Amino acid sequence: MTGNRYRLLGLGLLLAGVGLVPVSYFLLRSVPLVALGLSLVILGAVCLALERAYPMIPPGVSLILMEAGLENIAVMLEELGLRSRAVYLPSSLTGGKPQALIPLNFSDTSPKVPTLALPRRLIVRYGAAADDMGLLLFTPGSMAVGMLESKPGPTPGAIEAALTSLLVGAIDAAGSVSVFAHDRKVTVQVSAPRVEHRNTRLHRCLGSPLASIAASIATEAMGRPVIIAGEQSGGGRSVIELEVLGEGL
Amino acid sequence: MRAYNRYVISLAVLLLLTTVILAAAGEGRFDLYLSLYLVEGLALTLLFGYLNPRARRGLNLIWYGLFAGLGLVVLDKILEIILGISIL
Repeated sequence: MTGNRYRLLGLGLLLAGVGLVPVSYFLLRSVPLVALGLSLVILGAVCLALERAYPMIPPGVSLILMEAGLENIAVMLEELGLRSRAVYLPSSLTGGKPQALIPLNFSDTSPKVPTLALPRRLIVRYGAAADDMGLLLFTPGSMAVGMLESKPGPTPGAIEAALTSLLVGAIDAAGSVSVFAHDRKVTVQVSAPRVEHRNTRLHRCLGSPLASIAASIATEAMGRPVIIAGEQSGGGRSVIELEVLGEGL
Repeated sequence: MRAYNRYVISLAVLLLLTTVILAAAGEGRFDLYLSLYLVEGLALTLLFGYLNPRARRGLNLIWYGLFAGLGLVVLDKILEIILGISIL
C-alpha cells in the first residue's frame, strides 16, 4: 500500500467512525455500535499516523538510485580488476560512516587491519607496506547505519534489534532477522529476504546489499573490522557469515 | 510497506474480534470496550517495536489520547459514586 492510500483509508475510516458514534449513541442507543465507531476512529487515526511516517521517496525510485550507485562501483571494480573481499570498517576508523575497504592486492588470507583512522579519500594507504593500498567505499550498509536511532551495542541481541529495526521496519527488506555469535564468527539469518544475491564481482567483493548492511551494523556495533566470510541463499532465507577481525575479542 | 500493512490488519482484526465477542456476550459497559482497545493497541505497538521512530511516535500519541479518554471515563465513574454527579 502506498502512502496516499493510507491517507485515503485513514480519512475514510475516521469519517465513518465519527459518523457512526453519534448515530449509535443518540439514535440507536447501542454501546457495541458506539464501540465499533470508536474502533473505526482508532484505525483511521493509525492509518494517518503511518502515512505521515511513510518514506517520501517511492521504493521504485530508491531502487533505481541504488542500482545506479552499485553499477558504478561494479564498473570501477571490473576496471581495476579487484577481487579481494572488502573489510568493513567502523566509523572510528573512517572518521564518518562505516565504510568498506577493498585492498588493491589480492590475497586469500585475512587482510591486514588498519589500526589508525584512515583519511577520507577514495584510494587510501592502510598499512606500512608499499602495497597496503585500497579503495575506501561507501556501501548500502554505510547509508543504512545512519537510519538507526543510536549506535547498537556489541551483543548479538543488540545487533539483532538494530538489524530488525532496519531491515524489517525501516526499509522493509526482510521478514525477520536472527543473529548468533560464537568466538569471532557472527551468523546473521535473514528470513524472507526481498533483496536478491547475485554472483557478480561486486557481490563477491562487497557482498549482497543485505550482507553489506549486516556487516556495516556489526562492525559499527563491535567497533572492529568485519569481513563477509560467506553468504548462502535458498529456502526463503539468507544466511550471512561474518568474521570479526582485529584484537580484543 | 509490509510491516505497516501487518500492523493495520492485526489491529483491525483485534478490535473487530473484541467488539464482536463483547457484543455477543451482551456487554454494555463502554469503559470495558475502551480499556480492552487500549490494552490491545499498546501490546501490538510493543510487538511492532521495530517500526520506524516517526511511525512509533504517531502511534504512541493515539494510545496516549485513548488513555486520556479512559481516564476521563474513570473520573466520571468516581465522581458519580462519590458526589452523585456525571461530567459526561
